[in-house]
Amino acid sequence: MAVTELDRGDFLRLGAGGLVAAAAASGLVPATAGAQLPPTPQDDDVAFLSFATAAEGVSRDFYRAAFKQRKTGFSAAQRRHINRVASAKRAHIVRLNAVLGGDAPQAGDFATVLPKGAVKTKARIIGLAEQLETLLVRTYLTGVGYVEDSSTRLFLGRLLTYDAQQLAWLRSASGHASPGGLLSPIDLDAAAGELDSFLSTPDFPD
Amino acid sequence: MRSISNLIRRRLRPTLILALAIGLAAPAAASALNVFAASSLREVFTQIDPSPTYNFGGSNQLQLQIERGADADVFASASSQEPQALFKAGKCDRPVTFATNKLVLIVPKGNPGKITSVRSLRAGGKNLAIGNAGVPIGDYTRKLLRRLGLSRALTRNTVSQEPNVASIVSKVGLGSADAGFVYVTDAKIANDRVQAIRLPRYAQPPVRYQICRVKRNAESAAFIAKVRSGRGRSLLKAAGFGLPPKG
Repeated sequence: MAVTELDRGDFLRLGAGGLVAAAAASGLVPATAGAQLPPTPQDDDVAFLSFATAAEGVSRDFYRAAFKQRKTGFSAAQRRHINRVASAKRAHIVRLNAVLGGDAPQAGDFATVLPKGAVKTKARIIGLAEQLETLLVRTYLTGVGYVEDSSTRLFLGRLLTYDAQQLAWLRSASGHASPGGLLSPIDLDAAAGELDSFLSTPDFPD
Repeated sequence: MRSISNLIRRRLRPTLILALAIGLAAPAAASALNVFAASSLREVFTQIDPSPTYNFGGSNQLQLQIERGADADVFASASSQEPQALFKAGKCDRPVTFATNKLVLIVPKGNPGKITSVRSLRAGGKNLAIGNAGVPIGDYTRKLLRRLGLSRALTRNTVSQEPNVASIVSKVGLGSADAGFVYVTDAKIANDRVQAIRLPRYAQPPVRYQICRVKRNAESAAFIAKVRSGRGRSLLKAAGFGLPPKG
């Protein structure tokens, strides 16, 4: 049986329900599975989505800043990849906010604060990007384990897959042969504490 | 003797009456300006200008009073919702943002409920003080809890709903509640009775204080100018409020 591959572009464009529907259409899964409902997060599930939209926002801002910075030591192909990641992060946020609906953060609720010189060199960019992707992957791992709504779990799983791929790319770009062991899930409290160092509340003293 | 008495009656009585009239009029003149303001502004507003007659309370209650014709010259709210509603109803001038704030979780000194983070509330069994729905602090708290995925904390814990932020501070400060959600400025004022636990930045709802003139008189304009002046901003900052850009 011929198997239709879903490339990363398709993977990103499709919603959780759409992914299953597309897979059904391509014969990967039975058509009945196309009835996958859109994410309907329950109480605690919202926590992971709220965290994700803020953390993905920080990483989008970081990749944008990294792409804008020239002469960092990245090749042209690597820079194009960074730009694609920034776009993918933006797509993640749009989808996360759509799922959160009225609970989605509004423009101006918080702002990204990057450490001084964060995008000055290739080594610094990779270092901070690894830190952010590791935080996201560890939080998504917790989310996949704990969210109640199955469609939300699938959605977080897809975000986890993307960010884990990005983490692997970063490690490869830094010259590391392979990821240094499996990542462990992180408690949301600890994750929030780590994310706070990259956020500020506009018009409020820190 | 009679002539002295007559002298007092003729010369001093008008003077005494005049002095009495001035004496009675003076306090009225000093409190001619009625400022309706959110409870969380009590300390700082009385520092900025002690002379007006203040009516501090929950912003939604103050809005209701103004809608029903209460004699307010200025209205300062802990959110934009109430003054904007009055503005749309033609009951105040266009509101302006003059301060910002953030939420914290407070626990009594010594933390008898052993609450170390907002997530401690998931387990339930605590006494929690929050603002009523409709009061800005109550609405902000519910929004924050939704973002943190902790809405169930309101059913898993014993919740007392308070009409304003001062009541929440009081309840927690007295140990009647294990924890409560208030503004960071209130926690600062009551730091001898309560300790604050930070909340994640990503979950913070934007808290913006707005002020508007209910009556178009020079006194109300002068009061708003005082609040937004360099001195007013310094006092707001010292009290722990955030400040919007000047303008």
